[in-house]
Amino acid sequence: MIEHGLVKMSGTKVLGSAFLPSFAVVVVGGIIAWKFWESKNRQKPATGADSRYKETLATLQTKIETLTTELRELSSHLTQFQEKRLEPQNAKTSVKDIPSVGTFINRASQPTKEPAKLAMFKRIIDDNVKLRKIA
Amino acid sequence: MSNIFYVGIDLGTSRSSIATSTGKRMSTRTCVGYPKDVISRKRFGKDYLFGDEAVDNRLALDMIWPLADGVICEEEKALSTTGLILKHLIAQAIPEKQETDKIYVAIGVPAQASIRNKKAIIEIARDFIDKILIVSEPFTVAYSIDRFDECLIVDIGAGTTDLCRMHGSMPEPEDQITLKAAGNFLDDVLTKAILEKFPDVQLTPQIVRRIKEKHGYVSDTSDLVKVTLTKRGIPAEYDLTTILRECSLKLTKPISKAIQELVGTFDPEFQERLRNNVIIAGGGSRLKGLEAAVEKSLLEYGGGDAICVQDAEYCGSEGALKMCVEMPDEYWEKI
Repeated sequence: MIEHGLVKMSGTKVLGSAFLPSFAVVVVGGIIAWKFWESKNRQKPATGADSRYKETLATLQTKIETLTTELRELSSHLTQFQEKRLEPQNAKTSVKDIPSVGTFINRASQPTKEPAKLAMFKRIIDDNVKLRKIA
Repeated sequence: MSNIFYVGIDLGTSRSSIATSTGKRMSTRTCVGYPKDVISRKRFGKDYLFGDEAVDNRLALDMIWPLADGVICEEEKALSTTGLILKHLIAQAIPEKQETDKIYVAIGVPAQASIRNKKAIIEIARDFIDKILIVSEPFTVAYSIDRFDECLIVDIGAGTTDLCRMHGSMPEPEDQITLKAAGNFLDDVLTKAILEKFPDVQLTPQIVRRIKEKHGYVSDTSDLVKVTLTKRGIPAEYDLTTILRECSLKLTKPISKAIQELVGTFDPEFQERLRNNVIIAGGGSRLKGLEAAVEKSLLEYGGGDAICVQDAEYCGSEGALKMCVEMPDEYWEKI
């Protein structure tokens, strides 16, 4: 009887000791797997932010390239204008720019409505027309 | 789409200035220099030089000053040279002009320039100016400063001094006087006076002009004016204080007389207003003490008030430009 009980206990112990490690392994493995899964989930948001930063960086780089190209074109235009200004004769003249008007902005016509000025203009035009008719 | 560029030009005997609707302003000597020989032609690499560059290299050039007394000399060369100057001025001032763009110009001429001379300008500019207006120089000054009411414009240039009475409408011929007493006249008088006092000094027109521009005065008092001149190559200082005043007064006296004439023949009810609104423009306005001298000459008429314009160099061309910009399109179409 005792031997049977001992056998039973031993068997249980063996089983237990055989079982427990496996169970322990299973439990530990489970813990490890859970931890791994947890850390992987934590990484997912970090990866998302990374890609957004990369996109922004790429956009900025594209914009910088566009601006650089525009700057190059403007410099080229400016050089062309400067070269044209110096052709064909390179006389020394004093040049003044009216500060309020850019060199390349052409002031549009601003016809007067003042009767006194219109009367004077009419006279000037009439004189100029007569001038052209005189032989 | 084609642009219309508006341009105002003051075509002067000694200096011409241009103002454009693109905001450009330029001023240059009214001259062209042609290389004297093959060597100078090779040195400059051009058939001709303009303005200040020509003056700087004048020893190697045949200089042409196509305007005298404010009008084009009646010679073939003078006409073609004036055309070159105008073309060059416009090309320099509006380098961005394309084939399809148009140029509308107002050019100031002396008050009493002949019809022949006015027509000459139109002819020489026909190829490179689409529409050209010939206007009186003193009137462009009045237009520049918006003074059409009772005032008297005195435009002292190199070739002529133009006086013009403004009275709210277009001035008539009797409102205008042109005198030959101007900058070049003063240069001649000054040259004679210096050589009379200091016979062996070496003078050129450029030296005399510089002395006049830097030291010329008509005020009662002045600092001593001592100028370095050479005598057979040896530099020395010469006191020109008295000479300068005496000569400058020889210019201002006929001008004062012309002012008195225009005031005296004006409507008596408006004479006081005219006397008290004398406006002096042109390069000659820079003579020191000129306003006071003009006012002094009007004392027996009841006194007067004279002022010099702020921007003597560009007043005329700016006024001409302003006229172009403010002229209605339908008026331009009549030309």
